[in-house]
Amino acid sequence: MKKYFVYRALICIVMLLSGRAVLAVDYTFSGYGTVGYAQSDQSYSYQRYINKSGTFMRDTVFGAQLDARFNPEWTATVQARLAPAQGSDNGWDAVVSWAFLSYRPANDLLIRAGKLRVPFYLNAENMDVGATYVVARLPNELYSVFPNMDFTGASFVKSWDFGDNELDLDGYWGQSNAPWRSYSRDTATPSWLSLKARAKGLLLSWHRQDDIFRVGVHSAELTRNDGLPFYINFTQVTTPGINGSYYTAPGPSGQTASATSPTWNLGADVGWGHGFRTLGEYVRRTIKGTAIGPDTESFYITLLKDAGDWTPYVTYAQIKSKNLAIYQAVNGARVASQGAPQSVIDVINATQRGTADYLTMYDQYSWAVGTSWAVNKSSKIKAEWMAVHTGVTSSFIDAPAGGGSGNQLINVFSLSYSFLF
Amino acid sequence: MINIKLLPAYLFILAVSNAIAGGVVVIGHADVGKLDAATVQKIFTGKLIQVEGIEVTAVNLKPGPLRDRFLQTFLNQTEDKYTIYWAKRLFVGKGAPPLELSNTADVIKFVRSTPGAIGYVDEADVLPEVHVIVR
Repeated sequence: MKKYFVYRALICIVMLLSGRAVLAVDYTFSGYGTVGYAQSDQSYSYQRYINKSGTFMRDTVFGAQLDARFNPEWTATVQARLAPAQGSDNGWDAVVSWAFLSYRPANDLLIRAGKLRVPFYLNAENMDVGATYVVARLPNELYSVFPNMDFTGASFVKSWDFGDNELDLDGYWGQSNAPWRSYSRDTATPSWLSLKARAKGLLLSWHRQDDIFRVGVHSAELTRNDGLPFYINFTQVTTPGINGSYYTAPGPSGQTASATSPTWNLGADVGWGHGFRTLGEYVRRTIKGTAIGPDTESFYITLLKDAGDWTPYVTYAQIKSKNLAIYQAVNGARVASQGAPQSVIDVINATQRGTADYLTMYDQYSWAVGTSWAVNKSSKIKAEWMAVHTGVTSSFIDAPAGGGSGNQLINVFSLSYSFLF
Repeated sequence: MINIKLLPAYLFILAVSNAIAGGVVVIGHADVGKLDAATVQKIFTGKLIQVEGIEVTAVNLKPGPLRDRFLQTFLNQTEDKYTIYWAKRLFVGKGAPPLELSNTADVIKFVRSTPGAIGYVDEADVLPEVHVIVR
């Protein structure tokens, strides 16, 4: 019920504003959608859905947006989205993704409050609107760093005009609920941890005609919605009757109620003439308070060539966890009996693998080659081939029982149609 | 493929069509002062909502030849790029594109009756009572 308070408050404010200028309200109804098919050459799933059976679940999304402009200063926006469920691998979610009020008291200041999207990546706000960018799928190595980009809070944009150039300062603060997924290879089941993130951040963007240069700093305080603590680290133990050491959950002194994730990012979208552009982004996500959190470094670079209706491109993307040694230690821990019952040994060894799966760690890179074809000014057909290589492990893979997600090569073919109106 | 023998005819048709088309004139409500082309560009791209303390409201024609000429002259953009620009701005939550009206008569009527309104017409359609802010 709590989240509906925001919507009710927004509706009340909108009604008050529309009472002031009811005759002047301009409504703009718009929508977008992508029907995307993806298939890999592997029987296990990549990014939840993609395997050799093919799927429409990874990339398909539909949305509709209503903008109500009361006067040049005040606007209300509501966006609804239908997409594969975030907290489950089955079914679809129809959610109100955005519901915010915008106040623009001057040319150079925009203030928004309500449920809105974190202005993080170059294509953060429009990441669901495939018709507004070229690539078939925004690189998951980087665009997955924030598991839920929609938060409830407030943001501002302050602009400075330098003739042909513009400098924007974006700031935001608020909170979101982020589903955090892990996959147990031995039981072949996903599990979801519901996290609450209280986030704030600042981004500085320099616009030079079509070019953008961006730098941002962010911080999120994370807590579990179930009230349980995070483990700070695992405890390595040895037990009489068992040969070898293994890892267990720590006691109360090794637990923490919250963790903080300071993150910073860089981005650039630069034209080189003759239709060539380069897009690149870098994100460094750190975790304070726990040694087993997703401490990662991600980047991608895309080179594209605008050749009229066709825009071919090539992308290299990479993500690597900084604490892979913990994963390797836990995943590799095996004990043998020195008198203890074999059933106990089996449980301990299985627990080590399950614990390793619980850690969301990444070590992978991918190459993608594709093209976008503009059917008209508001729709695109895109095709892409991507080769994914994993190193130690990758939590984007639902590893098969008895196997692992390390040292894999996955070829993914994607075909999609995106439109907007 | 262009037939070289018909080139003089093509050039004649081009010249006549340009003469018929004329220039694009930006018009405004009586409370809007003279503007330069750069300011017009920022108004029609949503970067300015106030000019010298006056709230401005841009109004577009629906896609067509006159709108194409306006976009080319004042924004140095094609219809496709302008549409994509506004689609992206709309879906990042930074505003909706200008109101679109069907014909020049509606634009003139809207601009004359709406404080802060700015639109554009063909030069041939400028009547004495219309307030021209950029020619």
